[in-house]
Amino acid sequence: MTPEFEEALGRWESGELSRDELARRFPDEDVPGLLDAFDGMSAASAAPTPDASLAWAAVRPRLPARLSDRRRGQGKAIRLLAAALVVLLALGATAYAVVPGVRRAMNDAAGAITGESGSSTHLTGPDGSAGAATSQPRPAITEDKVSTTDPDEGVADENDADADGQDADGQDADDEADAGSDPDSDDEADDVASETDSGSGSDEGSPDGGSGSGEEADGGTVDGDGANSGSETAEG
Amino acid sequence: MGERELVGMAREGDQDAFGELFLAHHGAIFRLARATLGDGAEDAASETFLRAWSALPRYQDTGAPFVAWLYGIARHVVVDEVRRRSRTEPRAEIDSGTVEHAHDDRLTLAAALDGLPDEQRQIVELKFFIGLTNDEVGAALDKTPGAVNAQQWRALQALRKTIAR
Repeated sequence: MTPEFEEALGRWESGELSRDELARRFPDEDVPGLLDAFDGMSAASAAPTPDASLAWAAVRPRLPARLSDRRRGQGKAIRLLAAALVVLLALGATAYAVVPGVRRAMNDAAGAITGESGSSTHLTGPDGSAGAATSQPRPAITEDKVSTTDPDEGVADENDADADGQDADGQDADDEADAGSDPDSDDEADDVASETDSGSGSDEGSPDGGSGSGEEADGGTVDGDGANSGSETAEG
Repeated sequence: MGERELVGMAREGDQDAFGELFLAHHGAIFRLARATLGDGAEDAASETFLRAWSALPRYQDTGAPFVAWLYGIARHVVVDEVRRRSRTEPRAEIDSGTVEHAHDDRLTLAAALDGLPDEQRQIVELKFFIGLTNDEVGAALDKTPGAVNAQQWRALQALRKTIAR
């Protein structure tokens, strides 16, 4: 089969050449046989098929809920991570509040870090100890705190949670420990997320301090709940 | 709504969108399965769409028609079924003289298709059973329409010779 013949067959298929013209131009080729084979295959493909809507009605109930399962798995993983983070923070806060050795060790460690880096002298609070618990990228917030906090209170070194600007009641570490036992894990996840995000300094320069972080954490929780409810719907 | 949008929605889990795709392409997949399997083609077509639904999150739009992707799945389903039958049914029963003439023709065509080089078989199946044009077959197989045309005619010539024997 020559390329010229193949091209001519293509032109016959597209209607540019008649069967007779093709046979006349390529008398040595088996034109009728090839065209019959083409017609036979075309007829085979045109044979009737069963009603697709009936077939779909039978197939649809058998479709596995693949995407819902995936989302449900992601929701579970997020909840598990959040719960683990809450437990970890609660344990740390309890240890800090109850065990004097832990408190001393953490203060020593914070002091050592401050002394070594030498970068947070401007973060030091009125009693000279707050800077150790506050991360470096948040000078503006801490300076505000210094200027608005009564030096006599001297609580800035223990109330780490104050650093995120969320805890208006100035709760101490014991309160944090109590919060850790709250069964409402979603709220805890929000608190943890906002604390974590605040510490990262992502809201530096933001006029509302840690509130932006809180919104992000809430958004994540809503996504998780939404995914969960979606999977429940799919199960139903 | 275009097929691309339907595929996108089906990937996100929209069963109604997947149903539209099913209705559009079930006939093509059924024809392919019938040419090879005869009886059981409907089950094979259903199995193809069930597998497609599960595999849709991994689908990537390459510019080829969506049905070409379904064709790839259908080929696997058909081959699996042929293997299963070869294990469970003695060959003599399949080729027994009591089968109808049309059944014989189908078996002959299936055997002839099976004897083609893979590329030619794919072109013939995509063109005549799935219903794609030369351009679409070329997009699916990463070939020029001219190459598809040439391979198609060579395949038909080989089929004719095989069937005539």
